[in-house]
Amino acid sequence: MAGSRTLKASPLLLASLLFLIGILTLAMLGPWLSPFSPYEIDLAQTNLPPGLAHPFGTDALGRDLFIRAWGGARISLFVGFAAALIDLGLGLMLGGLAGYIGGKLDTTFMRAVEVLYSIPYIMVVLLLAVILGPGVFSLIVGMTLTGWIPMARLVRGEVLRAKEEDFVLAATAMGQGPFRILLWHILPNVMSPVLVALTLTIPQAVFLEAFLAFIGLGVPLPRASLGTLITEGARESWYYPWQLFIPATILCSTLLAFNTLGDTLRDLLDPKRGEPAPRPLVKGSAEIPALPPEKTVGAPLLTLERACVRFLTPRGELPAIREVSLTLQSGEMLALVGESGSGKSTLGRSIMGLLPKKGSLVSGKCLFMGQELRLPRLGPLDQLGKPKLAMVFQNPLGSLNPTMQAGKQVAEALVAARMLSWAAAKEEALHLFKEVGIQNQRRCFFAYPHELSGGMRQRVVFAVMLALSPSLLIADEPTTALDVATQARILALLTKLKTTRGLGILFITHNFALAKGWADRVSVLYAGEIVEEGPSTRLFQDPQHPYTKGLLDSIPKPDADDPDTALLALPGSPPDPYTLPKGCAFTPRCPVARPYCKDEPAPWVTLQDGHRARCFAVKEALFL
Amino acid sequence: MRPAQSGVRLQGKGPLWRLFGRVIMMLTTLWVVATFTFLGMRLIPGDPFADPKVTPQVRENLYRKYGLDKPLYKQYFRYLGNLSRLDFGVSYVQLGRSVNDIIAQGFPVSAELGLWALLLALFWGTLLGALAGLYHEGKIDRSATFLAALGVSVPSFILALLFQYVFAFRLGLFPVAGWEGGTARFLPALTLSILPAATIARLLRASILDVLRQDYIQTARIKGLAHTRLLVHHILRNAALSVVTYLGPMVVNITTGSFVIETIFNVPGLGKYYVQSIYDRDYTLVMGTTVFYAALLIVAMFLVDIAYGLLDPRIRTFGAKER
Ligand code: SF4
Repeated sequence: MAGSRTLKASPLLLASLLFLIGILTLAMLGPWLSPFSPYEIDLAQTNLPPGLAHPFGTDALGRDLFIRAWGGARISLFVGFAAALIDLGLGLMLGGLAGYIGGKLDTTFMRAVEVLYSIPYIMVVLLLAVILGPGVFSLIVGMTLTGWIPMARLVRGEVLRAKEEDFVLAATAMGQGPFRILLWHILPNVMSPVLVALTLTIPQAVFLEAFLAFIGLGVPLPRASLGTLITEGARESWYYPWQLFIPATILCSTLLAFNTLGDTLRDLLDPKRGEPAPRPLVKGSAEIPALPPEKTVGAPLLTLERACVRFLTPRGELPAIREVSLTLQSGEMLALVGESGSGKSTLGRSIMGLLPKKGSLVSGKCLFMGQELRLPRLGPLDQLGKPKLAMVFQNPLGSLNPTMQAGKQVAEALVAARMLSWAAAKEEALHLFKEVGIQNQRRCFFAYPHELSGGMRQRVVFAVMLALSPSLLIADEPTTALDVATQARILALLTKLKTTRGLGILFITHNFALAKGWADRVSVLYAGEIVEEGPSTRLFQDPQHPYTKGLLDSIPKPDADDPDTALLALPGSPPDPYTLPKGCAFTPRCPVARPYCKDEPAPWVTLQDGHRARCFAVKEALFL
Repeated sequence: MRPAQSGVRLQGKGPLWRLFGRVIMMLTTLWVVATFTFLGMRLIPGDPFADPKVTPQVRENLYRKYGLDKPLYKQYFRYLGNLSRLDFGVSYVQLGRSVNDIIAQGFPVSAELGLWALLLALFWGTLLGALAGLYHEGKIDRSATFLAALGVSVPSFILALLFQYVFAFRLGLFPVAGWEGGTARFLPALTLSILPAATIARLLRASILDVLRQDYIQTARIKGLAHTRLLVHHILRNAALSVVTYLGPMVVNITTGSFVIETIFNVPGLGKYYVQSIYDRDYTLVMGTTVFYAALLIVAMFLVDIAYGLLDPRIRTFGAKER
């Protein structure tokens, strides 16, 4: 059960839920737990401290505080739940309609909401409480008069998003009525943020009632909410502190439990939760000692030997990279091709030392210019005076700091990596802009990332990386976010840098056509393993592994240059990384699978020019 | 998190047009508040001069004096006219004192208290939030997060009573109440700062965690920047944006919080008079102060929006966000 697993995963959620259930039960059962009545005045028993007969003591009129406290909790919670539920109802209805119908109605709605919303909420509540006079009804009216607005905004936003989802579009196409669609298809999908908002609205309303009670606008006497009790207790709190602190503790702990519940729920329902947690910033430096130059001569730029990366996840250990070995020379572009989930990005990030520190297990060797890099490294990468690695990510907008001018981001790297002065760094940055093909360098220098086009942004990112004078550049899907024409131009730029700077480039892509067009060598990654590799001319002319063959067949020949149709698309789905077979991971999708493929590791078969594949079928074909 | 925008969007117009639209919008809001307040006060059953000791003759004089004998619409226009001349009228209860007087006397005190609270809140909130975010999932994070959760769960008047009991009454470290001398200012300002500080801490923590996930932080780390530069220019600078969006609501929180804090600590600020006027049903004072507060908060929101526009290059000022 997903629910019980969630509860187990978050002790905080369970604790706050249990606590709230306890409070609710006491508030409901309160009257039966004590022989006294909340209104019974007994002047012989005034201001008693907590004791056996009166667990919470008595007040100035000798009333039992235990029963009054739980009765008060009931009133406070009633106000909280009632206000929150009315907010929810109004918000769902108005926000849902505005979002669903859209157009004029939506515009009018948003305008009205803007005016209403800029009226200070608390003023409305106060004024209404003054006008209507104290009372449960006027309290709730006051709170919900503008309280529904945040909920409506939230619902509207979610509905606008859900409306574009495929299953909703499908339901509309099938001619289902708007109310049916809203009720059955959209609402269930907007429920989780709404649930979180609801959990956080209840304590707000309880809080507000207590506040109003304190300035004399709460629930009218003789009823007493927790707020009323606190106000009464405050009068004599120096002499009878329990009269104040017992109801105050009940109120605060209830609010704390609601807030904690809301917070943990929000974290649990957060769609980003699956991503690895960001690495905490702990001091520590990278362990790349400077190299004596002679040691680097002749060694390949980058060598991976049996590199493995495993992540610890709630579902168990996830093997992302399994015994990958590869080499890359200076002035060479090696394409790492694989479906999403094949581990290609993880490989790039692990070479850079950018994996989350917690929960990543790394083994194997990584030699950079003949010298070992420890993976994953700790802390910010300290590259000063060290051999240089650089990496470009898929989304150029995301890889640039949105609040810093583009040129400054390059200059800053120059100051850090080459110890230039700011003035010299600015000059050099303009040169780098020219090198990466930016026309109007000065304008671009002062532009913020959002003011540049996608291709321009990616060029700026290249300039940032070139500022480090790297020997190795890892380009993780550098063109996926760009249009086709820009894509080609960016790859031409990469090829140029490869030649002019002798840069080794690890080009990570899911796009076979791009690998074929631009890379010198290609490694095909499947389920965290390399299944075939070789010079790109050989590999594409004479693919060996059934996976590679299948992929090349699935590229429609006539427009193989159009990357959108040349994406990896193969019958069957990528394997579940948690339950990989001992043998070849491709077995379930392989058209020529042998009975033993599943259980025995497939052998490497070497053909010509370093073209190798790992497959039983290839081996048998060769020896038959 | 989206900024608390309340601007009119006049797409394709220059910034001056947007400023103009925004001012119109603010005036509209104020007018709605003023009208609502006026009608509300007139709808209340009862009469500020219903005291049986007031003879009919005196009452009639009072009515004439305050214009209550005129038809409602005339009173309304008179009221709006007065408002536009920034004249909030006279108190019904504190006879002989004008609302302007009371505001002029109380507001500076409230403003000072609010300012101290604001500074304290920014200090504590930023410190807690930054520590929790940067050392997240550790002991520091858990303690800071718990403190912040506590801070948003304990109403300020309970804190005020608690602090008063412990620090002033039991330990005698600070005066119990009043506004004389620096030490008297400490407890009210501290109490008032807790809720905003806790909110800032929670926002900043979430926002830092979000920023740390972004690729531009990876880019900055690859550059090999110095620790402080990475922290200040890349992490905090971007994370702070979400805190700025909260500054508007924070002014509201501090203002409303001051109503009870001033009452409990007997600080002679506007908030105390406001609460008193509610107890006394002193309608003109309630009305005048409400409109004054509303104007204050609306202007504060506007300033926050402008600050946000200055800090985030992606935002065009006056509330229009680029898509
Ligand atoms: S090893 Fe077996 S299952 Fe794997 S690709 Fe080769 S033939 Fe297919």
